[in-house]
Amino acid sequence: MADDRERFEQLYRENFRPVLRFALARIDPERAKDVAAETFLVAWRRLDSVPAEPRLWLLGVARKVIAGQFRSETRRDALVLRLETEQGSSGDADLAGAIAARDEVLAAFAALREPDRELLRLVTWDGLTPVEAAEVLGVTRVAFGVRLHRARRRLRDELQRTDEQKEIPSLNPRRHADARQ
Amino acid sequence: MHGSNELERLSAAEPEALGRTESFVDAGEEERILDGILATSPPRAARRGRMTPRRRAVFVLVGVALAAAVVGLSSIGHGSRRTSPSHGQQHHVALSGATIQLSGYHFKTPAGFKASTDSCVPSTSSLQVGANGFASAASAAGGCVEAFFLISPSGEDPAPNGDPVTVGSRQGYYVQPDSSGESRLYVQLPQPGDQSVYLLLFSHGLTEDQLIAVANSGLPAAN
Repeated sequence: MADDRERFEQLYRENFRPVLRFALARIDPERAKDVAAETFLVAWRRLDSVPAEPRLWLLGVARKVIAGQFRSETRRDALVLRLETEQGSSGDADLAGAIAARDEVLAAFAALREPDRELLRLVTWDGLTPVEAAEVLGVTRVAFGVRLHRARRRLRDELQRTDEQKEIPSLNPRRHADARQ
Repeated sequence: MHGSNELERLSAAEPEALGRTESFVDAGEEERILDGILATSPPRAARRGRMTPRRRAVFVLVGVALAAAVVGLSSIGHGSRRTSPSHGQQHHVALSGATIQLSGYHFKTPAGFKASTDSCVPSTSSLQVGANGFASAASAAGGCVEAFFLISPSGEDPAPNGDPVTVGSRQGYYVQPDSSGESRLYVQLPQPGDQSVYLLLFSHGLTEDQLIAVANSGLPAAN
């Protein structure tokens, strides 16, 4: 029992932030905290099932906890909320262009289906290699590669669409910045 | 930036929130969460060695939940009785409530439960019941149980987060109550072919023993 506790505490301290970060990329902060807590509760109850390298296992559990509790609407709302927060926190006109560029990418990202977004999150914001991401999803490397290829193509198409729309003057953030000078 | 590829652009657009987790959960709260987890039941030695990480948990809930039943906890304190010993009942739980029918199965429910036509699966749940079937309900008192059939086309694990439990002579998986108090019990049913069929009891307010007893009351003894 003492060994269990010691092992779990080490596992928790080394992985709590990565798991929380993983959840924050998908849901609102309050629920992300709950997801992280629940993920480690599962790990505690099934400690003997946790592999020696637990990170991907934990992310897989976190992903299932999220999928089991929250609908995609919640995730979209969380993304929108985060965008609004970040935009509102910056009053620096010099950052307007960068923020607008990020906004465009996130808008294109949000236009994708959730399965595509999940693949793309794993290999970008979560920093996983395709092999690791495939393990988190529980699919083969080949299957992951095919799905990721398609998701990238759809993201590329959406970005192209938003890039084209950016040329419309009323949507060009530089124009707003120039007008203030 | 637009000259870079789509993955680089998406990486660069990473939400700032991901880089400052401390602003959402500080070190003190992290410790409190840890303490809360350690205060729960420790890993059970009896379960050791029985489970390996089950990786692929993509599970399809086929929306043909055939029927279901639900029951609301309206009053407590009726008489009790034990389920049939022929089912291998191991949990002494009073099951004198309403009987809910799911296809050809009849499940007895705990004392005080009454059949209901309302679902007890919340709208926020990932479980979606098809148009041809539903199950469940809940009472103002808060207790509810709902039965479904789940079909796994690939035969994969339906409850990767669940604890293995014995339901009579069958293998089941119990998913502990989450933050909203919802728990689940999956019991694999015999099914020819590649598909795996599970009985899912979704509940709010029932204990692990109660859920196992409910499942055991309606399932025929496995050979």
